Amino acid sequence: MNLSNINWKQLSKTFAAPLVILLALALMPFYGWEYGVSLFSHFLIYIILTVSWVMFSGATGYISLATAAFYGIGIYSAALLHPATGFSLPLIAVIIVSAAASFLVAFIVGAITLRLKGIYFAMFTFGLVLLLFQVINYVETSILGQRGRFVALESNETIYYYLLGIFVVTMIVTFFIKNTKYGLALRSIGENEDAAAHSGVNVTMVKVLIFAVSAALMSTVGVVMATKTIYVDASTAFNPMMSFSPALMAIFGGMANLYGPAVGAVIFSYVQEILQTGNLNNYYMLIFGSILIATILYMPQGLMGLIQNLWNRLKGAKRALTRG
Amino acid sequence: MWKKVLKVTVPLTLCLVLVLSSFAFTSCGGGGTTATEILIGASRDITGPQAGFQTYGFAPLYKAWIEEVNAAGGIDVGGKKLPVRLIEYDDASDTAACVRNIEKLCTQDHVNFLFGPTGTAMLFAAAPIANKNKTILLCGEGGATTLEPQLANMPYVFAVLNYSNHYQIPVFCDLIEAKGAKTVYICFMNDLHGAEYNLTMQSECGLRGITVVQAKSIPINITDFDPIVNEAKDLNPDVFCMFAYPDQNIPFMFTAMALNFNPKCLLIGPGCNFGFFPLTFGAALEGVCGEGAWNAKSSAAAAAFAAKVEPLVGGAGSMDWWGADVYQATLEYLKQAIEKAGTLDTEAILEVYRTTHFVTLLGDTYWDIQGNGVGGGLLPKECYLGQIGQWQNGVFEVVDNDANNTAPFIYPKPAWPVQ
Amino acid sequence: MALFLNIFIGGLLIGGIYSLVSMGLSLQYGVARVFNIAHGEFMMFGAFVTYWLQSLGVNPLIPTIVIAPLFFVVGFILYRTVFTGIRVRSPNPGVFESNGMLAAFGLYFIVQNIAVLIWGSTPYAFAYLNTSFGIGPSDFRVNRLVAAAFAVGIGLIFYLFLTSTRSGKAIRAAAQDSATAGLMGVDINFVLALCFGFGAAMAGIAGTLICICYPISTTMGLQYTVIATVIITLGGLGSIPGSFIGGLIIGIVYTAVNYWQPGLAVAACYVIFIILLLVRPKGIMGR
Repeated sequence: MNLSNINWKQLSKTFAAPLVILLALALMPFYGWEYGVSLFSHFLIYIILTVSWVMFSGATGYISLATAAFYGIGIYSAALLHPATGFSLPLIAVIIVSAAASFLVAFIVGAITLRLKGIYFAMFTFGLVLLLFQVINYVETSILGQRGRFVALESNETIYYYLLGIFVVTMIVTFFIKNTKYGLALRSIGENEDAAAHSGVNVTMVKVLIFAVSAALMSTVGVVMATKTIYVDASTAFNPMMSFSPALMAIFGGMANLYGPAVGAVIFSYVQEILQTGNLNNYYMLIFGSILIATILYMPQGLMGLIQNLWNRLKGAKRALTRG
Repeated sequence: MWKKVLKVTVPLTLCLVLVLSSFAFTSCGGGGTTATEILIGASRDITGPQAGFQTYGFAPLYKAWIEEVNAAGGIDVGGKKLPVRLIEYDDASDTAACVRNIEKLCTQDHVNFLFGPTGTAMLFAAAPIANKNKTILLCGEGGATTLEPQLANMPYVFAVLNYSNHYQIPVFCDLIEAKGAKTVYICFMNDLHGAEYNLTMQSECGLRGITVVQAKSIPINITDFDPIVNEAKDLNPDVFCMFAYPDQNIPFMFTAMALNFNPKCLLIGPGCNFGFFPLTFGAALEGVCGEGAWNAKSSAAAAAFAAKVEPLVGGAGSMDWWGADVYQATLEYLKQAIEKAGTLDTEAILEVYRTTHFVTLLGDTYWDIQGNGVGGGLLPKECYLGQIGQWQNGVFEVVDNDANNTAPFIYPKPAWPVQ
Repeated sequence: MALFLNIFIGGLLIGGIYSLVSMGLSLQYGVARVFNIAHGEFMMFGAFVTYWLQSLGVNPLIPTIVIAPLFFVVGFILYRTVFTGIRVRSPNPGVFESNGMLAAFGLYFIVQNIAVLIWGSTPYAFAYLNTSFGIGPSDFRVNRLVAAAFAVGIGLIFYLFLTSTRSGKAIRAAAQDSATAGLMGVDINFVLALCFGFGAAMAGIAGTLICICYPISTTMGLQYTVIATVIITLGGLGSIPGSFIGGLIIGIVYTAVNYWQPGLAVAACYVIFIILLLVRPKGIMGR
């Protein structure tokens, strides 16, 4: 291996900022801000969900509203395999099992439905959330006579580091997909699916595979979160808001680069957090809706797109000045 | 022309919505700690599906109580009167938000006590977190058989409300057995609450040789009760039990009346215990039973409280004849416990909770400590003012077969009034 | 026999109301190409306006006279502002459909939460014609019959409007091929907004009918939107008779499942949806 071939300058430019951010995040529990760990776990959940949503939907333009379904599969995996009493697998094993289960479900659902046109796919995926909720709720209460399930409690620090780990994996997977032929194939599907198919891309396979990978990542978040909320029933596991939020966060943040969805996720989850007093939550939803419409109408590239445009304009202005 | 209109109106409308909403932000802000006040935290469903409990549940009572205490200068803690301050966060019945709120209340706001969240499922999420953070949690609405075994390991959790096997359903089954009821139809919500009442009802019926002809679960968004009522009419049970929420119980009542389904006994709840039920149904409610129960006739203290509570909760429609008395007793007990301990130290107050009887609205009030005296507490049966209520002439009479009884149990219930 | 009657006639009565709910969505998505997730919210708003007016002593069927034109205007303006804006900016119809749906999601949150701020999230119900009539061994609710008859009447009037008036023909032309219709001199932006407005008006009227039969709450909208989606997929997009056939079928299926296990009723609708999408995504009356 010849080290001199590597463009160190380029490499440090690409990775310096992410590494610094990661280091700052990794030291979070040592700052002595006890609630901060919980708060940043909350951010990480939405960042991971949003980034994995963008991984598939952002590139292909297929709007998936199944996030809550996969998140719920994760929660139920934890409830079944990591319960408060009785036989319990280690958390890491539960995460792997849940990711595999979610991958499988998404693969099957994707294989069936990804030939559908945009709107139908969105409705179908949203229906999946409702179906899973109804069927699981029915089986749990009416057939098994269950009254909810309990998951073993983990410490906030454990939860935080697991989420951080999943976050890093998600980012690496996204980066990998973007910079390989899969990313190219996905984007060509998003631009013109027929043309992509004609130019030799196995359209269905690529779509289904990436959909399944993003679903697997979503479910791991569910597993970790279940160890925090402890009590699990179908209505807590399959909350439709978990489907809507990542989509909006991604659209607001902008899907052109890796940072956009993450920025959108942090902004929205923080706004949600500070509105947790009084009856302000209704205003949160009202703002949520208004920003969604405004973003679609006036900021099609999202917040990061807007910032980039402004930046480019500033740069352009500077150049113009020096020239003059 | 449309383009111009578009250019102006849409951004203006969106801005308007944003500006209007941002007005509300100014009022938010977390709390800090000072030794000069008693901090009580609560994560409640203020905007979600259970938001109704903010007007007719635990919330109006603790708010009124805090006002009253502060008007008197606060609670005496070791010779110094400290005012009480409430920090209330909204969880909209989202478990994850509830857990985060409780954590924030314990680790950031450093509250001295926690009031329970809205509903049993939320309680399950909140109780372990409160226990982990060693903060006393006084549960409000909600309580469940499933929680009982866990209380042994949760010394900081005190459940106040009565529930299925604690002791409503056994009392109800005694009542119908004494009247010779033979068959029961159970309709239950397919969630924790419904499933638990269903299972308790089935086992209690089994013990008494009463046949359960059908046990049917319904989803929370059910609108059409014709199938249930038609099936029940065919099976013709002596007793019909409806273990669901007001959202389902009200349409069920309308359907039963429209299709003239009139079993000998009808148990509906929660919902039947609230003041909006007689306001909605009037004379048709005669003889309908509900879980609860207390009323102005229960005791002199209860009569005084009933007179006081109606304006507090905002009118007759928000009267709660199931839990209001025990919520109030919880608050009265808390005040006396703090005063007796003379400190805000949690362990000292916990010791008072474990050992002391106080006189409250319920009379002699104490805790049945689980886990051989080291776990959390349940209110014992003797403390409640009643378990089963029945509407008779616009009063939610306690019909239990014991000293709590305020009126005889009417069986069979009268026919629906002609419309 | 009694069970069969209960399911069949009970299902038809409910199906009539469902048809009206889905007819509006069918116009909005089938012609105006906006998948209006907020459709159920318009219905909810209509229901609450009715509830409010009846609490003032008005007969609950009368508010439709106010609700229909009001909702039409709101829908029309919404399309001319928000959705036309998106349409103009979208490079192709696919992008317009996606962005339109997302904007409708925004609308969903806005409308629902305005309603929550006004009426809270507790359920409301009142008794209107709360009696029954018998057919053979079975009893049915009078208020459902009135609502279903009302829904069928409105459906018929609208169908006549589509088939026999100039505007109606323009709408049908736009439904078949909006680009060609535009070339043939149809003011396409106007016609599409018209459709969206009609859709909103129908949602409002459906809200009134729902309010007569069922308890209402500010969070009920999405449930009806989902049912309506299944119905329009079943009946065929943009087809008024299709919405009716689909509505009646789903009404019967829904009632039948309710007799068996109420907890699985929505799941059953969804299973039909899956099968349809796999077997005949165009629907019964679809072209």
